[in-house]
Amino acid sequence: MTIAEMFGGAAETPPLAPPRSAVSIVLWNDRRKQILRAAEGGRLVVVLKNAGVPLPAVCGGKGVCGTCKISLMREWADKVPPPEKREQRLLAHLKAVPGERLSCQITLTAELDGIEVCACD
Amino acid sequence: MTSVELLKQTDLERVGAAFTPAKMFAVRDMTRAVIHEIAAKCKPGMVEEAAVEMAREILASHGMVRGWHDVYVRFGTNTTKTFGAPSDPGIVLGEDDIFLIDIGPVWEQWEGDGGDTFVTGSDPEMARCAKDARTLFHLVRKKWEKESTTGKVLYDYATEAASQMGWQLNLDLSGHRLSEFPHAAIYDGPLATLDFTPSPLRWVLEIHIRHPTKPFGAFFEDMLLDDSYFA
Repeated sequence: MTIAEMFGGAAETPPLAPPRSAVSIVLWNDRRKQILRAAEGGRLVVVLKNAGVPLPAVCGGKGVCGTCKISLMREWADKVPPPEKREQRLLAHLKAVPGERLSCQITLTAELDGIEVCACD
Repeated sequence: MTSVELLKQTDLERVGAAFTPAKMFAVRDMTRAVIHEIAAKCKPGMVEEAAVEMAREILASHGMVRGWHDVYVRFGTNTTKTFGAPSDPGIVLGEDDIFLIDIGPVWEQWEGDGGDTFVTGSDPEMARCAKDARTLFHLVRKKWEKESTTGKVLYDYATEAASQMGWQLNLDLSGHRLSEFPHAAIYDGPLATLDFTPSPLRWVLEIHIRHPTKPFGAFFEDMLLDDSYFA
């Protein structure tokens, strides 16, 4: 099973499907900057795990374990749709600081092209 | 047991610095109590999605906001669904119905895991299914306790015993580690493939049975422990 399948996505784009736009993600990890590219509509946690970021994400993207928590750079935190009640409650429980989100709850859209993410924990 | 086998068992059963039996038993007690609290609030006419939300609220009220897996309350035909599979939406609990609960809460640093099945009304087959999931759990657990069997032998036995009872055992749910959070960092595989005797207080025994022709099933799970913990 691929990481995408584990998180409920398709293993690969069907051959006749129209190509999906790519979204770029700027990943800051251990003071290193890395540019990732991913198809629009995918989940951020999948892209980060595929890039080798050690996010356990043990609940499989259900938003209940909190082990895919990342930080969004300040200017991007407001552009991502706000967390729903369940995510809010878990983030509060985990004593998350502003800008921290569960990457399994972030869907990559065109509006998030260029999003800057820190996976420094 | 060869030294290689012993090393394998030691590796798969290792725990971290935060592991203590007292904490694991405390989470187990909380988990079992919450299951029954949730079950008591599942009433005919309730939609499954509302029951799941209610279950999350109850868990949160006991300080168990976090889980190592999602909260499952499954009604009626959804009781046949395997772990992680989405439920069919909008299923309403009937007057003569069956429902199961499967929760995997994290309390502070420690994982709990528990499941059980309940019925509304008086459908005899559903009542027997729920009862047999528990019975089978204890049959398998007692075999482990008395014969020190391997994980693989336990689930071979469970499959045969379920069949003799008239049920089909779902081997997608075939036991796993439990520890301080997250056990997946140690071992994320099934109990059913172990070629050694699992130690107490390290593993969860899962039993999910389905009716061979009708769309319902039952689930029971708890830690693999000896009789003294099931008084």
